[in-house]
Amino acid sequence: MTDAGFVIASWVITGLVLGGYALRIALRTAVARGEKTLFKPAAPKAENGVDR
Amino acid sequence: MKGRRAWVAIGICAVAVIAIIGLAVQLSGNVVYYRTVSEAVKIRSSQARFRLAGAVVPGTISETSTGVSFEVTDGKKTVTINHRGDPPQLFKPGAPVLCEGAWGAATASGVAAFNSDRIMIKHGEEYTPPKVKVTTTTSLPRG
Amino acid sequence: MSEKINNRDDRSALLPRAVGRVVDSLTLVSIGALTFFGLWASPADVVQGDAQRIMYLHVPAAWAAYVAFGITTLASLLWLWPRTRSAVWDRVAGASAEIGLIFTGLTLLLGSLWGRPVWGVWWAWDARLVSTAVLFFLYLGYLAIRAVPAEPIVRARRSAITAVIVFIDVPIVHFSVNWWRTLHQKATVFNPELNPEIHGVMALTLWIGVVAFTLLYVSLLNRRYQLAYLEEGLEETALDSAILQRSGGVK
Repeated sequence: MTDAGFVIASWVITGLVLGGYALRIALRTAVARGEKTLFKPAAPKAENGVDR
Repeated sequence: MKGRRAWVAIGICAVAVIAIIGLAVQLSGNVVYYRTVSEAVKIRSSQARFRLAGAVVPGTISETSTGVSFEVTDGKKTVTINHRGDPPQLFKPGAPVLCEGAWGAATASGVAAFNSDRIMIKHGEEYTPPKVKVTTTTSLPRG
Repeated sequence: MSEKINNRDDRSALLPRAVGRVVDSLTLVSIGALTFFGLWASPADVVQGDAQRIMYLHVPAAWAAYVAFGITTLASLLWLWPRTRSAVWDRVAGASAEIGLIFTGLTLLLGSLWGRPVWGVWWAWDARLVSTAVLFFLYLGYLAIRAVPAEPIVRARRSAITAVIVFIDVPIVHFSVNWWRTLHQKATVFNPELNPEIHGVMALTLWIGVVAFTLLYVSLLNRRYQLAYLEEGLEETALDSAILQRSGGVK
């Protein structure tokens, strides 16, 4: 690999690692937010035996 | 569910501890990562493997059937290196190098050469663009 | 139990929404600037050539890791100090350590990519590289300890004490190049003489990198903290409903 190849690889890897991590936080946040709004109405539903 | 999570966590902890111990053991064998040429010539009779640090003496590099031969110096002492294999990309006259290997048998002239099988280039912490007036581009390994 | 309730702090985000947005935008702008300066505007090094450009990512990544672990330690101390004890500090400590671990891993990867062309090797068993790998595993262990289920206050105390202990390796990593002989070069900018041995556009580029990665750290910390808060809420809701169900409160 040439020097330029190593430099490009370093930028790509940085993008993948940091971008991937930021994306993971965003996805988990979305899931947590979604569950949170779903979870609370789910409690009274369970009373009717409809839930699950 | 909770129990499983605990075991996974403890497992990762165990892996981390084992890795740290392994790394510490590796490091303890490398506390002196390299010896200068002056220090190296004092143990010329030893068969032990170590890394020898010095600057490549300009005009001494010659290709051999198995690799390259050249001299390195720390400013006080100079020794001949017989290297097996290709030298790294930035290997050139004046480059500060670490050669990994051991002393060979004494030759007819009475001084042993150092047989190396791995060359690393040691760089300084100074960075300069090419056109700026450069005082020293190759810093000898210090310490 | 009452201790746990006192400990509860309902700060759902670290930064106000508007401030968070500003930090996010500045992060993106500075990363763009770093890419422009690092790949185009800065000259190639006289010895190392183009490969030296990897420094503009490697050094800022290592810097951000130091900052992240420093904040983890500070937050852990603030949690341990009874007057400042708050669940906020526990979340900050955990969030910051995770980001620091990512930056440490990245530093090792980038260092390897830089070492291959300029040293001739991907890895060397010298004090700087090994102590950095140790740092990675120390914080991996710290995060694993955090993941062991326990009462929130027990978990927070356990984590805080661990965080303070594992931080010892950070100064070891930084000063390893001065204390021992290493293949790795000494510090260029944060050297003991505080006299950077780098000039002009190269120094400017490195500073842009340090600023960009610091902003990125703040941005990630803000988001990761919010996630920690949300997930804690979920755990509590799940726990409450489990208790309710078990006691027959729902059925």
